[in-house]
Amino acid sequence: MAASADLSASVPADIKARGVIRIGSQQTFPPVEYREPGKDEVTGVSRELLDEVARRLGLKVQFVQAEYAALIPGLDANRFDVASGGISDTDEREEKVDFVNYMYAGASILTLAKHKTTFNTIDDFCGKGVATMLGSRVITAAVDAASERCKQAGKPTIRIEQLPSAPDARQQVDLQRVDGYIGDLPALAYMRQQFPGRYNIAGGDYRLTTYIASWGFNKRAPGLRDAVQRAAQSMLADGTYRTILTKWNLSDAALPEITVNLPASKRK
Amino acid sequence: MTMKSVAQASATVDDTHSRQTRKRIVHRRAWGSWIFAGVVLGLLVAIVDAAVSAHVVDASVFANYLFSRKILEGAGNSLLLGTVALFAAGAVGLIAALMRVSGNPVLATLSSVYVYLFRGTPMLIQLIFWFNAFPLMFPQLHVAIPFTDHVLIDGPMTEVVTPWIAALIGLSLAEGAYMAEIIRAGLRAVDTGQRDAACALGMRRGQILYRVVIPQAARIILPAAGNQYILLLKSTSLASAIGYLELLRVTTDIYSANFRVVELLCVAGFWYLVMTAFATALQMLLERLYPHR
Repeated sequence: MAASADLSASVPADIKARGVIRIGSQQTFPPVEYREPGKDEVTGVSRELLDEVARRLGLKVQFVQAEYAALIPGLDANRFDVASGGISDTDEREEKVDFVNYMYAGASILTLAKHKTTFNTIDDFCGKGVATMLGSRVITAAVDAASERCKQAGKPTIRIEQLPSAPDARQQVDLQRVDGYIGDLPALAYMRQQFPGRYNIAGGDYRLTTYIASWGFNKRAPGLRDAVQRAAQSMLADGTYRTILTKWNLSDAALPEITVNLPASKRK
Repeated sequence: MTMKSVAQASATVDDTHSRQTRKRIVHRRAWGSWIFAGVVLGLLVAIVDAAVSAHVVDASVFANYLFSRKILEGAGNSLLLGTVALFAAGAVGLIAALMRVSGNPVLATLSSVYVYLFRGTPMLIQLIFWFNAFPLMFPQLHVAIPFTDHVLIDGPMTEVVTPWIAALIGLSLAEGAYMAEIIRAGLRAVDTGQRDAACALGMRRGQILYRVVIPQAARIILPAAGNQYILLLKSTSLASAIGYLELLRVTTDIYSANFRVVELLCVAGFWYLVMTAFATALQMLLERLYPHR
């Protein structure tokens, strides 16, 4: 199937002239966007979705490496057109950036395999420590709420350690400085698969919170945002969207519709 | 303008005055440097104007967070870590410097190996080492009084090496290597004749160090140590990598939620500048205690 003429007409002129849609990403977040060890090419579920989106818009995808702190200033400075890498849509962030929502994500808890029966939900962590990635506001809020429940039940609270990247945070579990690492379920499933027999996901697939993985766009460039939304929606309509998610074992994460600025707080 | 005013003065006042005015020295104008200053100021105005009109920084967001409790808490923790680490580094540096000048080959070699290792590797690597690798190598900490059954500490290393302890050890030891070199340079700058004279007066080694060498060495050490304090205050930002709740980590935490990256980095920059101003003032005060002769 060639690029749809209807869709490619909606691409803003400057991007159409360039022929390339630039994606800013940390590229260290499996299985969303990451590089296989020893390879330069970015791979992941978001990459495959964006490849297909770009193809339908008659464009090519180009990845630009950017640290988390540089993602949003990079959008402002027109260093790239899309900020990606598993960022989630929240009301607070929508004041600064527009989002095209592309999949469900949720935080689960990774523990050592030997603690399989000890920890099933966050409420089993009273008096214990958990590690998260720095800046996971949604997660820390959920842990604080659970910590409050511990206090009401007369138990000690939950301690949170925040670290700058997922590997750093996970290492605290290996060191047993904490008993759980809270991160994206797909990322945790990927880690468990990388180290067979070492880790367990609490309660099988227990979800602490749900959030909406999204691509971020400059508020001053709604044209590209709408073009990407329409292209992704057409993929959802003809089944390509679900095929790609299924390939990455993420069929549970499929959204019923590709939306713009619809965070988890506004969903049922 | 000056030539003209000289001419006017000589024309209007009486003879005695005009003779004095003629003697006045008129400095030559350095036109080149004034033109350059004008160009630099012009560029500065253009840059500030461009930055303001681009609305890079939302001033209300900046003002909102400048004095927020979390930010102040982070800045306080940074200042605390930097200051405690400076004193620890001073102590470590003094010991290493004295070992180096002791004349004992074992102590001198150990000291120079320490300086080489800790000055030669990035601080960030050292911090991560103390936080992650060290507890992996020594999982259990067991401290007991020798020849007795009295156990002081017995627990997993990870409970002892908290982010605060790891940051403190890391910064103190890395900075201690620099301080050792600064103190050694200060000690060596005191002429041997001074020591010989003190020795001839019958002073003991400790007395010579306290009464003669240190007061003179301090003049050389203090400005450099003040410089290191400023560096150390800024280096506390590295501790965000191991989860210590300092200024940069608090800032990162906030901007990852609301995406106001530039505004919050400006807030952090502002407080680092305040800390640096504090350190500079302290340094000037100390230098006045040991004035250069």
